[in-house]
Amino acid sequence: MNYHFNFNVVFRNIDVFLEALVLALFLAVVSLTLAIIIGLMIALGATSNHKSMKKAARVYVTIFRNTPLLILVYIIYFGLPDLGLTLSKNVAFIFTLSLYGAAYMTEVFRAGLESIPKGIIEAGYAIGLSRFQTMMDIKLPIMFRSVLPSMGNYLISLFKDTSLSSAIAIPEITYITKKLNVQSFRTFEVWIAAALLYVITSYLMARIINLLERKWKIK
Amino acid sequence: MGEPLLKISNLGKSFGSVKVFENADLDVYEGEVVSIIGSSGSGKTTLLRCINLLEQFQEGIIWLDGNEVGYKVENGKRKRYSEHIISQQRQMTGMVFQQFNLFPHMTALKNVMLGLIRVKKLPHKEAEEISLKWLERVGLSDKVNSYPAQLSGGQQQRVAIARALAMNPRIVLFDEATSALDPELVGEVLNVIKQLANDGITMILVTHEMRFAYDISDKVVFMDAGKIAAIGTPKEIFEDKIVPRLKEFLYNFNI
Amino acid sequence: MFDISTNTSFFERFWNAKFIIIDGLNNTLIVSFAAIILGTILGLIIGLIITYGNKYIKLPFKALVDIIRGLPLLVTIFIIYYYLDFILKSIGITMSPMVIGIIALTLFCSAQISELVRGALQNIPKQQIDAGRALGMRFYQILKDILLPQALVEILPPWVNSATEIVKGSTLLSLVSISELMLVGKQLVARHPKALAYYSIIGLIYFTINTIIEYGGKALEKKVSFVNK
Repeated sequence: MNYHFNFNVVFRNIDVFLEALVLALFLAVVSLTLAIIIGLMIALGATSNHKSMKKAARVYVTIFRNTPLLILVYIIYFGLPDLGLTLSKNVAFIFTLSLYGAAYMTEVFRAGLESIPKGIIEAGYAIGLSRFQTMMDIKLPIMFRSVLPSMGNYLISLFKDTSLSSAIAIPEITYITKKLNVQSFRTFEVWIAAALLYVITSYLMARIINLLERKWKIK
Repeated sequence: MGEPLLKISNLGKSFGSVKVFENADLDVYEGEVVSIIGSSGSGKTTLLRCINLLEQFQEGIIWLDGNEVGYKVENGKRKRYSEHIISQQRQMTGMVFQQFNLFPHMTALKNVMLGLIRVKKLPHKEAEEISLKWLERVGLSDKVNSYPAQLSGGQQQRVAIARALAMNPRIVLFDEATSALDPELVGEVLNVIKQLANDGITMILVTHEMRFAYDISDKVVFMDAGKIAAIGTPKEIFEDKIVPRLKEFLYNFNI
Repeated sequence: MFDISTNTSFFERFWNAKFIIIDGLNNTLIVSFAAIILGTILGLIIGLIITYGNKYIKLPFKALVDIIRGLPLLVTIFIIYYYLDFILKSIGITMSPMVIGIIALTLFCSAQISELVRGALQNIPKQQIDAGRALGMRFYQILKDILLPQALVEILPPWVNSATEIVKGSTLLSLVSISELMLVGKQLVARHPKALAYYSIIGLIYFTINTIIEYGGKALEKKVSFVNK
């Protein structure tokens, strides 16, 4: 097999790769933020005393966890226009990834809330706090501290999921790598570059999360 | 002596078909220290937790300072008060738990201040002053900015006592306050409780510390198998053992 | 089949296409289950190597697992697809795209499973191995009778989750033109632009498959926990 490696394509397009990386991180961060907000609301419904809200939450989670992300992207980007709602590529993808991520976050939040020792909640009631005050001053602060690592790790997961946006031609890493491949025929080189970008970024993100976790554990 | 501060009349609680306790009658006067003793399962902790409505009860009435606690009878039907009113009623009682139950994400000071700011709606400065005073009173002035995880069990429980008392309740409920403590830490907590008793705080203690109960109580309640079997002075309960079951029960404590 | 009249109803069209759809579904199931089974076996072996192997043997495997887990599945699929394509062409072999798809999904699955296995095995106290050794058992016996049964309970729920991830991941094969259900959906929409309808139904099919796997997994978990007690 005769193949002469030539990484010029990669070096000439470093800026393209880096822009794509930034876009991917942007998509991931925005989606995570929305997923947290939506997921929190659904989790509050899932842990409430209303049977119908609990059921609705469970249905939501099951639907979004058992359906492939790619189909969801297609339904929202290609399908919603049939109902008259046309979204731009980025908005459609972020919207889809947020709804998808919310299902995951709901379960994380629900487990976090249910793991708070009942005695601490009772102590809140005993000094006269209302249910709302107990939720805001005691339950949520405790829950957020315990789920921080999970949220950080999920960001890495979402970062990898952004590669799916290449299917609707969003110019993140996977998409531009394919394009460069077609343009330059340097298949091995461009995909090694893409792989390095993903693996190194994921690794760095994991290290940073680890560091932050240890810094805040001192409390 | 006048009217009792707390009057429990024919109180009963069931859990499904299981009777936890029934026919409980008890009067507690202002400034009194009442101990409740009995074996596990006798219903004493549940009875205590009914007073601040952490447990629901199906029969009987509790009056605190002349007001009916938790339920009202309207047109012959028993109705639980709204959450809003129950929160207000809980301000009249303070509770100290066996597991301390300090809020782990707040400093000792914040733990004590929370109720004053959120429930009593006091301004920050005033809440802080009151809290610092109480933390000093339980001997923890140097630990006000420590988090519960940094405190020993005895220190955590003393913060819990300060937290309950800062709310200025009419009566303080101690639910086996020293049962979860290492033996060498029990003394510091009992000393704080003794001081409070001497200062005239009205309190009910569910406890296994028989010697302590004998020393500080005005009245001792003995519960057995879901019923109040005896109420008497410490002498009547611990020395005279006015009901036969007391002999068996206290035998386990070498009394 | 190439009816371009707009008078034909959606359901008639859908019904006419039923064979293509079943074909696509078939391929999806074949690819998914092949990858799950092969990936589990491979993942089990790699997990054992990483947990109990010596320093030099486990290093390459650990590196491979870390790399695959650091990559999006789609990138793994593209890399395997393009690289294998190139290599095989230069040797003169042709491999069906579906086989390449199965290889890519299997690698992905085995990386996940090896992590599950590693985690579960590391949670078993070392004293259990010592106890087995003291009884004179050989390592593979210790593995078979002591370690794996205990690890099984811990591995099962996440394994079910991995299985659904593979089924969901099979949709990505449509992006390298492998003819599974997702690609069939795209073709149907291309002929008859009712995107919402087609994609929703196809989404429902995937949802059904995964829900069946989920319930099957829960039933299996109950059985396993009884056996252990």
